[in-house]
Order: sequence, then structure tokens, then C-alpha cells
Amino acid sequence: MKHGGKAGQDWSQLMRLAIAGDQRAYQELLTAMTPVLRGLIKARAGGMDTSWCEDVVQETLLAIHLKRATWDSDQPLRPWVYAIARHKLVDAFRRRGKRVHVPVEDFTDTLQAEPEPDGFEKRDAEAVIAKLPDRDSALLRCLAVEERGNEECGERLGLSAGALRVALHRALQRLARLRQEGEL
Amino acid sequence: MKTDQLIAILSQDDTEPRPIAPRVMSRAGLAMVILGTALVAALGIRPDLGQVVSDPIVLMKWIFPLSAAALALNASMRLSRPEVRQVPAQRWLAIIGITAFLWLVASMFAGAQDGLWATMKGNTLAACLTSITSLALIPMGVGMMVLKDGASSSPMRSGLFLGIAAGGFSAALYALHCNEDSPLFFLSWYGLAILAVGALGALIGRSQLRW
Repeated sequence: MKHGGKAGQDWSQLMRLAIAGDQRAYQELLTAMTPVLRGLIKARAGGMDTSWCEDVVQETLLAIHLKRATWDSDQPLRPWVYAIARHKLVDAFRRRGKRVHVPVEDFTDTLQAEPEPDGFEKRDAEAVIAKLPDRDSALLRCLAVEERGNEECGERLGLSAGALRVALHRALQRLARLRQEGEL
Repeated sequence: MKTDQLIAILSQDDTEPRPIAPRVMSRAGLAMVILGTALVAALGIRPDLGQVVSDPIVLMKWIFPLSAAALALNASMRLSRPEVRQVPAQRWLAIIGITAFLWLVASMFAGAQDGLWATMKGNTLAACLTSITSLALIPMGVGMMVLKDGASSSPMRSGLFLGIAAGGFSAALYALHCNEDSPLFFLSWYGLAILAVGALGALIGRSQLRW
């Protein structure tokens, strides 16, 4: 398996490319992170079921995305990613009224999950998206559920390319806020 | 939502990430400069400012608040990164706080006991407290708005330090006007005002800086 130092560097490099605007590098990075996050979270979830863990994985990915300005690009990416995953795991436990102690050191080793089929999420796309304002939900539905391209979705919603970018970013921020408040 | 779908959406959002610390400092700093200038202009600079700055005791009216503010700002900015849990600035800030407190206690015992409260409350206690705290509020609020983009592992501490920073800079600006030079006065009330803004910042941070 190829992780530890080398993969860590790769992640940092991919993130630098992503921040510079390389969408493919970004997708590659997020895809590469996901099984690692699943492994980390599952191992520390204290027997919570797979769909609960997958929710935490998604919240972590969303936070990684929205908080990427807080990564210091001179530092390796992994400790930053693990700190976010740990935060999101503790937060998810807290919302269930469970106080757990997740030691920080515990999040420093890498534990690759066995590849697992995706799609155990307890909230289906509709339920998550329906709580957002109409325009946000229409946009995310178009992009995620129907998997149409940017252009087609923009056309359908009457948004220019620039307006669509802004709308998408805001929609993701609201989505994160809603999930964080435990309304979903 | 499937995780793959989420990743696909996330990678389409190429909004450029904007660094936190420079924006906090430029926006909150600008608010502080504008409001501070207005306040000092309204109250007036003490006429003897040129002479008193050579007195080391009076100079402490700037050194204490400014160093506390700089350290607290540093701590708050560093804490906006999720992997940062402890920052060295916190310890230095504690040392400054303890030093100020010990100096205050020593001044209390050194002074004439019967006139202690009179010296302590001076003539402008209310103006001092209201000026420092109210000057700090807007810059702190502006900083807090930007800090919401951060990812603090400890929202309460992030808010506390932002509040102490705003309070410290406010106290240093107010000191341009204030001519109460007894350590009993400025250690007590500058300190109290800074701590009050810090406490408010901690409260706001606890609810607003969660992510």
C-alpha cells in the first residue's frame, strides 16, 4: 500500500493544484481521501452503523472543501485533514448526545479502509436537499442527482457561469450549516 | 446524497479560498482605526502626551494593552486552523495578565489604605469603561464575521482572544485621551474593560465560530 509520507506529499501537492483551480486534481484528491476517511472514522465510531459513519465522512469532505483556506500550504495536508475528521466525528457524537473522548494522537496514524461500496447513506439525496432554499435545492438536485453539467444546470436555472459558481458555493455553505446544526 | 455525488459537486465549486488572518486584520483593523480616530478626535488627545511618554509608569498604559492585544490577535489567528490546539502566544498572554494583576495587588498594598478607592476610581471611571468597551465592539464584530470562515478547534478561545485583542487596541487608543496615570486606575479599569470584551468575544465565539 502506498501511504504515509509519500501519499501525504501527494495529497498536499494535489491540494495545491486544486487551490490553483485544477478541478480534476481536486476530484482526484477527494476521491483518494474518502476511503482513508472512512477507515479512520469507522475505526473510531464505537460501533455506530455504516450509514452514520458515511454521514460523518460526508460532513468531513464538506468541511475540507469549505475550510480549505485554513490549510497552510507550507504544511503537510494530512494532519489538517485528520484534525477536521476528528472535529466532525466529535461533533456528530455530540449531536447524538454522546460525549466521547477522541484522543488527538489517535488521529495521526493512517488506517486505510477496505474499499467499501458507496451508498449506505441514511439520508437520500432528496431529504438532504429539500431543506435548502428552492434555488439551492434546484441547483444541487440538477448537479448531484441528475448529474447534469454546469452549463446545462446554469441554463435551466437562468444563471450565468459566474452566478452559478457563486450560487453553488453559497448552497454548499448553507448545506454545511444545516447539517452542522443537526437539522438534517 | 451519495458520497461520489458530493465529491462531484464539491470539485465543481472552484471559488477561490480566501485566507482568514489577512482579512481579519485588514477589516477589523480598518474599523478600529476609523472608530478609534473618531473617538480620540471627539474626546481630544491629552495635551501633555509628549511629556508623559517619558515616564515609564505611564508608558505602561500602552505597553500592557498593546502587547496583550498583539499576542491575543496572534493566538486567535493561529487558532483558526483546525490542527492548531495550543499556541505559544497564549502562555505569554497569561504572563502579561498575571504581571498586571500582581502589579495591581502590589500597588494596593503600597498606597495609603484610606484613599485607596478614591485613587482607584479616579475621576473618569465610567467614561473609561464605556469608551474602551464600546470602541472595541464593532471591530470585534467585523473580525468575528471573517473568523466564521475559520475552523477553530476551540471556538470559545478563538472568540476570547479576538475580544481581548479588540479590547487591548481600544484601551491603547483611549489612553491617548485618558490622563489618569495611577497604576491603580489603569490596571484595574483598562484590565476590566479588556476582560469584559474578551468575555463577550468568548460568548459570541462559542455560538458563532462553531463549524
